[in-house]
Amino acid sequence: MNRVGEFYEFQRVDASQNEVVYGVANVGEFLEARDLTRSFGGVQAVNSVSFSVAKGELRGLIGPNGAGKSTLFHLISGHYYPDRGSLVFDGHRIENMSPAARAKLGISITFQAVHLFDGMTVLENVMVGGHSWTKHEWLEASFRLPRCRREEQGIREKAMWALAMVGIERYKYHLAKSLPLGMQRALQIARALCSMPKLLLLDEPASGLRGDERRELLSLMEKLHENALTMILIEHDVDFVTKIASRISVLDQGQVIAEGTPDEIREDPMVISAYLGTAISHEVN
Amino acid sequence: MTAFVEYLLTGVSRGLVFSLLAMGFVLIYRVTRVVNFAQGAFAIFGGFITYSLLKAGIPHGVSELLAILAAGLIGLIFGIIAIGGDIPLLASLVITIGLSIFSEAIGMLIWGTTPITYSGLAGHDFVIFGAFIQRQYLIVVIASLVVFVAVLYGFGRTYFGKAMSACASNPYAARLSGINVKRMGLIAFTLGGALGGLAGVLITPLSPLTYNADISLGITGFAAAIVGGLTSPGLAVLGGLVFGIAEQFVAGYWSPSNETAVALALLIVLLLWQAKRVPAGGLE
Repeated sequence: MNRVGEFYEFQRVDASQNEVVYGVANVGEFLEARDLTRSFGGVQAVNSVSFSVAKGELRGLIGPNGAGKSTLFHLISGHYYPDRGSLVFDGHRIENMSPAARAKLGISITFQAVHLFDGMTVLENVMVGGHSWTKHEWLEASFRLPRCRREEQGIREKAMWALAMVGIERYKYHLAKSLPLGMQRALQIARALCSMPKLLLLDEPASGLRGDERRELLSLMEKLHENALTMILIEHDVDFVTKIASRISVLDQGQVIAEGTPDEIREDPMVISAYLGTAISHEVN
Repeated sequence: MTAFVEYLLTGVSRGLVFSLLAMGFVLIYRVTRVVNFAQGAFAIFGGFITYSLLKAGIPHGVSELLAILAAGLIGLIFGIIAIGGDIPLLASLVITIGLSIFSEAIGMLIWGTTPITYSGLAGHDFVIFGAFIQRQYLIVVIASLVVFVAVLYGFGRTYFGKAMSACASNPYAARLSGINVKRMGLIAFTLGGALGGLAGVLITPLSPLTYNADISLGITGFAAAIVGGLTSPGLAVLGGLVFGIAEQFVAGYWSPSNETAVALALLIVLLLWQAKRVPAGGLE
């Protein structure tokens, strides 16, 4: 077994297939939002949202365009700070913490639009995702002091594991920008995984993907879910979410209007009238 | 032939000093996207502080080292002022211009308006192809090359350098990847300050500095940095060498008063070339 970091242990189950499994031990209340509110000018993007996510849960977050889903993600990741309300993650009050501090606690996000670091290879892009694990500084890096070498090696291992998880390790020395969209999205997930997150926020990871790429993404998420990684998934494709999420929260006009299992959500009259509509509900059913 | 060799070697060492300044520009720009127009001021502080420390009886070597550290500290303070708050990029750039003017005022108040110089490390001049070269030039070459290798290696080959570059490439993604982008920016300003300080420490024995020399040093350093699109440390070194050598040939074969004019003309040509090379919307 190869010990990496303090939160996760991962081990190669089958080296030939590059399959890696990591596990989290306990289950319980993990992320808790209370009365979370954020306005932009006169628009209340998120309005008194309260919800909680259990450890190891895969929560779906759906809602029409402009419902406040991405804003809610950014309130959790730290890109935005709430006007009001509290956020507790793994026993820590985080609503006023910087994004870097939240990343250190184990919150990681993948973006709706692809955000890569230019001029870097796939591997380098993914390694940047492991930054919250490092403690060495510029001088140590310049002189290649032992701590720097040790940490760099650790991040490289994590990055290689993450690339294997998403299945693009053979492109590790390619320039990230040269990859097709599907792989760039996979790269973003690998970068998030390289931080060995406790909570992974996925903002429409399937958007723009082809059928086979969607199936690969679904299988990756199932694999991560089986290994008890807590995830929140925003996705427009309701069919995709209901296939994988254990519970779904529905957001409309900045408020949670429903929450439950995929079956409960499908049948919720408020959800049908506010979001799904006849055509989509038919598709879901 | 003797004159040619003398101009060339002098140009190389002066060029390396410009390269140090250029590298400071590149380093700060690559991490923060701020063009730090106070870069020349670091060189002035480096030279002036060394002068005061030597005058106070502190030996060579220690004085220079302390001055470089002080310039790094000044860089950090400038960084805190320029990017410490929630400041838009353009405002940060204007702040650096203000800091440059402020530094001139401080330099004039403390060290006066008389050009300042001090003797470099003791030692005899040496002769190459009949040209007498001061030993200080050799020190400039060695010190600069050591620093260049460290910076190029640190930026290009280490994980930490990649994380710093990520801050400028995509600050949003870098921040959400757990990087403290502001802290990285302050590290860049500190290193930029130390690089500028080293440039000042090295050049003051060769050419006396006045409180307002930061402008000409800053412009030449900026021009050299532009050669690499403000993002390539390697090309910035090359740019510095080109400017240093061109300056010496202009001064030697034409007139020293035309040095700055030629540097500015070269800068305009380079800016036009960069504008053609780089697509609208950004350098990367």
